[in-house]
Amino acid sequence: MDRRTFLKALGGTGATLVGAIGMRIGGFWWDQTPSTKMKLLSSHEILIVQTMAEALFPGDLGMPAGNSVGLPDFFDHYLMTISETTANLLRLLLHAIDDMAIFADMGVTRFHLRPLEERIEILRAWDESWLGPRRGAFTSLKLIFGMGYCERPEVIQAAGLDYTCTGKS
Amino acid sequence: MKLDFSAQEYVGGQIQSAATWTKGPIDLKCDVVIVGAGPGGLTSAAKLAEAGLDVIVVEGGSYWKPRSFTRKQSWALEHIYQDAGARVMQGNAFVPLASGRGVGGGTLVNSGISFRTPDYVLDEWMSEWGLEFWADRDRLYTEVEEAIGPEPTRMDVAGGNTHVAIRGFSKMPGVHHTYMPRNTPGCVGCGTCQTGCPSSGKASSDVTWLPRALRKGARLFTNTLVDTIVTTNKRAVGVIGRMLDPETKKVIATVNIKADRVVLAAGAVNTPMLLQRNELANSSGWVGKNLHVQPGCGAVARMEDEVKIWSGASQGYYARHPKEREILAETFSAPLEAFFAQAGTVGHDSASFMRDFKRLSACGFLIRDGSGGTISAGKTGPPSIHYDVSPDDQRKFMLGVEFVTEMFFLAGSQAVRPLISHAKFFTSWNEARQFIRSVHDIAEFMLYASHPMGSCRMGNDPKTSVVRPDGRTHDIENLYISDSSLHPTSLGVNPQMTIMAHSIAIAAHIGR
Repeated sequence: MDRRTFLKALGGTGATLVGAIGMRIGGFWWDQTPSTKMKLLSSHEILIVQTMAEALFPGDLGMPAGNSVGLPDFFDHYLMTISETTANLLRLLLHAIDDMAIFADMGVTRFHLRPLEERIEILRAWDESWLGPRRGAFTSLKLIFGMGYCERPEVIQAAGLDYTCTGKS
Repeated sequence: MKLDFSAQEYVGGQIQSAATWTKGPIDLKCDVVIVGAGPGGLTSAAKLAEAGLDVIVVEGGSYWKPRSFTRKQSWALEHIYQDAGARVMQGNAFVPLASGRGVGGGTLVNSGISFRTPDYVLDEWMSEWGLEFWADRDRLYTEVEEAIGPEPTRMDVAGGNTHVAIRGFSKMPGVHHTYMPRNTPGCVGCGTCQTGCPSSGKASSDVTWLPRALRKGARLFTNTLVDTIVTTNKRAVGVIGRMLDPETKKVIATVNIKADRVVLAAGAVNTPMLLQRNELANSSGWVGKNLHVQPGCGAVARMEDEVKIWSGASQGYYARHPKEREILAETFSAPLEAFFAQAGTVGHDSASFMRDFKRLSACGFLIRDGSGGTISAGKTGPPSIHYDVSPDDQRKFMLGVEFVTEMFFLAGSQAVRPLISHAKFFTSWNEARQFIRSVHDIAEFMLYASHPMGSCRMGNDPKTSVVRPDGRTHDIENLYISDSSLHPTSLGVNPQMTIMAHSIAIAAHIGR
């Protein structure tokens, strides 16, 4: 292969890759039709949220499991309160986590289809990433999921918190 | 000091909102229209109404009656934070930037911390920026203190988190540390100031300056956004906007207020956005630049005994760094989810983190930042905010994290986690210090900011500042700014008292 052929092939491969990623984002990630139960989240996004909630909070030590406290409803409502741009970015992030899971072990299984322990490992990789923007984006999600989870009365009770206003420890 | 809850009696009268206004378009005339009902806007409103001027205040957020707030962070973000709490600064680090929204503005969600800005900063403002009125600082601050009543945090509401800090800082030679001065006369120690005070014990601007303004006839339109500053021959003559239903965002009424003077007090992000979108007052090119935010970081610690960080003053104690005057350590509490997002581990360990929350203690610090950011308003939607932390500020972060981490070990903690990515709960000070000193990338620090300022700085040179030392913009007559965007530099302390003092000084000029 001479230099010109190599560059052509490289250009072609690059363009194909960019096109494929663009089609994936435009066709499957961007602005999915809301599920009948939600204002913004699609059925697919509900699945991602549910499986992510369980991986964040598996429900050990008597704590409720994350997939049992209505986090898709909370997340859907939260998205409605923020700007459309930010809401779209957060939805894209859900899809990015779901799709990028196929690279986790060079398997072909997306995040929401994986068993719990693998999902936990994938989220841990986001949480501890050395790439600042990736870690920062995930921290935002962690905070939103955390709000939806930690504000539930059954979680507060299970964690042994008594939210009194006494100033006493 | 006694809190004044009388503003609620004016709802439907001098205070109008999307829920109460039924009279069609709002077409009014007044002496002064003020955009924004935070500490700057409401201080201005009180002072100008008391000077006999006819004042109208317009505010994008809502008026909240006493006892409106609970501990719920999600509710607070949605209702009393700018951009629903989703404001973030991009640059060499990822920094969330929180600002309050609604009648009271930042004072609805702050911890009531009430410091005077240090003399060396105000002296610099006088000598380098021509802000001569700060020679009268004692009178200005005294007037603010009489209005909002700051006192050192009372021991009976200080809480367990404060007691940890007292133990730790007491063992650090040369460190000045004491109870936090706060304007919270009715504090009962809910530890959740940032979600709005559930006990209505804080002397926020809606229960201090607002009732004074209302008693002198000022009017307040809430749920009202200003789109246009009307000018004629380089002179501000009013504002045009919309009153919106806060839930549906439907327009309830168009707003057209003619005024002799227009005062912008929408905060250090929204004020420059409004000027940029109106292409006004920017011959210097400095509108939206020079943004300082006093970013902070900190550490959390697991204590042997229960701390119950949620019980007690949110920020009851402070300490000054013994060698670097631009670092101010402040204890803090936050909701469980905020600690989880920063220091919790995903998966099975999340449960133990939450079960251990009752033993968690936290101390943060803010720095006086020399770094500057830039706000860029698009045509619509939230602004784009760029902020790079300078190497000198990064040095302050290293010192600050070491300061509070060491404090926790001295206080008896067996496990301390600096708020730095990839840190763990360290069990020895040496190990923790070694880790902190190994961090060279500012993006690794978990930063947070809630004091935007400086984005329309005040000064006597029209080439390097946006606003004259009397509060008028250099370019547009009768267009004033009266909020934290005026500050020429960062302060090094929490800003509410300085914002109010600035507004008192500017109101004296406007009222002439």
